[in-house]
Amino acid sequence: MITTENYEAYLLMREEGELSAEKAKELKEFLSKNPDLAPQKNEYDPKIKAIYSIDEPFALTKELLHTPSAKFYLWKPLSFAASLALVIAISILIFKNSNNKTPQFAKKSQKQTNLSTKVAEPIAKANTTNLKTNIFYANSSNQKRIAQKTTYKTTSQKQITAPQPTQPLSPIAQTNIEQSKTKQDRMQTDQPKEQSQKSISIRVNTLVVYAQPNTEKQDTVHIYTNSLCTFSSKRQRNKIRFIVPESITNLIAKL
Amino acid sequence: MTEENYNQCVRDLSQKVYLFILNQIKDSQAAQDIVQDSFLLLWEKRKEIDKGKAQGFVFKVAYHKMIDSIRYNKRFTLPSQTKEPQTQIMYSDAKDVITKVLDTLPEAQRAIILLRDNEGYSYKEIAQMLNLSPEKVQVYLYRARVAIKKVIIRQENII
Repeated sequence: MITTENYEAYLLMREEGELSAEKAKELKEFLSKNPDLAPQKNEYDPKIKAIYSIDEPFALTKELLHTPSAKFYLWKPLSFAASLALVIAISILIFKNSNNKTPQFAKKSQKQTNLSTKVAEPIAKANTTNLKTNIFYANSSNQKRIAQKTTYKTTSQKQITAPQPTQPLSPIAQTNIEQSKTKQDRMQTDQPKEQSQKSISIRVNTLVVYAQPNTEKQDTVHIYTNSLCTFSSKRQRNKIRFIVPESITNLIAKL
Repeated sequence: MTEENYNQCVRDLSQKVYLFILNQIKDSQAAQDIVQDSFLLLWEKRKEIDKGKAQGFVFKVAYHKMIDSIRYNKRFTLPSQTKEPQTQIMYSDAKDVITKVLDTLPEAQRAIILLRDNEGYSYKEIAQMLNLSPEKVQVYLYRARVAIKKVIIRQENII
């Protein structure tokens, strides 16, 4: 349908020779009805071509081209290098940590040694004698073995060095012995319960002193000996500070 | 559209688009900016655009950016900087006449005649680039040619 809006398109097609006969007839009829829209003579010249008056090269063609960046090329080697560096760093850290562990263990064992020597000092001072002291620092797991050892020492002491009492033992002493035996037996039977606790066995020459932490009172230590007496003493900061009762000092003096 | 296709488009079209824009706005710096923006948009949308439609896309984007630029400049142009009326211009030859008359044409007519005569695009392709119907493209092209012819005839009459 040719209208006033699009008749120029048909005029153009007619000038370019692309208008069909049917449309040409329709256009002719339209222009006869609208003579004011009819083209003037030589109004249209198909030879007129609008060519570029300015012709200069575009300077940014290379910049517009997408070239893979250096990052893209280096992606694989960089990632490999980064992963390698990470592995090396982790291995160094692990190696350092493994090196640090050995001195820590050494320090720990050193602490234990210090503890045992600290325990021994008060006893030696309290005895005020030049007795040779041997300290056994043992876990509760081998308490039984220590207890057996203590029993053995007790018998050997009696056989070799312990003087025979001129007087019969007092009833109190006998009860002490019984108490110590019962406590030792109880201690042997209670081994699984007290596995986490540590016990100290101190042998002063032939006198064996056995220290057991009190489970009820944390600041109290039970001291057992192979002699006639058993007593308790308070401890402070892992140091056993106690005054040996007179019965013990007397016994040691006799030895 | 792959990266290689994009690069091929840049090699084939950048010069054409640049001249198409430059001959309309007569400002090389602005034309370069428009061309760069057009190809940047092509790069961003390369996955959505087929290789065959890239050419029309670039011209379409460049044309609309040019229109925006022209409108923006018109808004901030002083009255004294406006072009002189066509009647006062004296032309030396037909090429000069055409060039000067093109400047006075509406943007759509100017773009159509440049795309048709310089790039050889069909009416349908031009219609797609400029978001017009093919019939409208033909109408604008006819009017542009008539306008140029009128000026040429007037110039011949003066001489």
